[in-house]
Amino acid sequence: MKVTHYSCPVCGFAKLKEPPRSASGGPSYEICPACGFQFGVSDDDDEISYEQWRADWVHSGMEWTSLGITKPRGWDKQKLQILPEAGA
Amino acid sequence: MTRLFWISLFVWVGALAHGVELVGEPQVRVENQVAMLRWKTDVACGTRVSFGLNADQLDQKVEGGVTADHEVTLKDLKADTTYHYSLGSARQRLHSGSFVVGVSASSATAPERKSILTKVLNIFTPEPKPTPKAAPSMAQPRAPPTHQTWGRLETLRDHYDRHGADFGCRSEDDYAAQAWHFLQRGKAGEVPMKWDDSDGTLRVFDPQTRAFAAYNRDGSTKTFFRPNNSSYWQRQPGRSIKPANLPF
Repeated sequence: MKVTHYSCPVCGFAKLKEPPRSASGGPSYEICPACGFQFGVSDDDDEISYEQWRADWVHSGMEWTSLGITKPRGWDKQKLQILPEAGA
Repeated sequence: MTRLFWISLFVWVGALAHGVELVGEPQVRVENQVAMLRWKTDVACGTRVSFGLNADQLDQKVEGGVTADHEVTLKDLKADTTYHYSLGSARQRLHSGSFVVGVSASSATAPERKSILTKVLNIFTPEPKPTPKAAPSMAQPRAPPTHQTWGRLETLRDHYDRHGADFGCRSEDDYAAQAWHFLQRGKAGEVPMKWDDSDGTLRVFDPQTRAFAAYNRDGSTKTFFRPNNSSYWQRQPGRSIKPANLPF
């Protein structure tokens, strides 16, 4: 069975388990294990834009943020290549 | 009493308008394998210092109460070791830096890097959050095991780390159990619920305590936290649903 993954619009991490927004516009509440953005909280409650979060994450060294999900092998090289363009 | 009310209201409105910001530079003092971090914020908010040996892995943390004058002591540090840290609250990192624990007494001033988040989180409402209603001790069923109530177990630690303090949770299991109990309140008709047909998400909110949770279509928990924004519930999609119409 093929498992569908979704891309994080903030950092480009390609293995989110749910689309960040459903058809209704509702958030997934998923926390991106790479950049730590929580859809529906970081944006809807804390009112931080993708661009602002991305800039801060890049500034802090693009650290893998999840405490419970293991960093994928090769992440430190991948992360530089998957980063969405600013404004994406 | 009336005067106290108006002062409290003024402080609260002020907090809404300005958000949390550092007041001055944090101070880090290191002596005898103990580090004391002190910082001030313009309004009261939670206290958390995350620290570790690697800037990429701040795997230890110390938390404190809701205050504007924060002080955290890190004990039993290793000598001749550089520690990296970030400080702020559970949801907001205000500052990060590093310090060195020497063999002899030493002190350091925190480096000047200030998180961009500090500048953009101005909507954050930092007033002390109300204590959640104590669930009735009588007739409260024991929550099922966490692996049955939490949707994706590998995510629980991150949600607990970020939101567990909202409810005074003592562990990941406690956090998951409280989320399950909150769902039972929804199913009992005590708090409003919204059902989102587009992806089968159930949203539950308590206007009294501002507790919010989202659940998967099978009733397992997606997240559980206390929004700061007063219009959060109104902005979440879904149609009102009665307990009898839930699919689980």
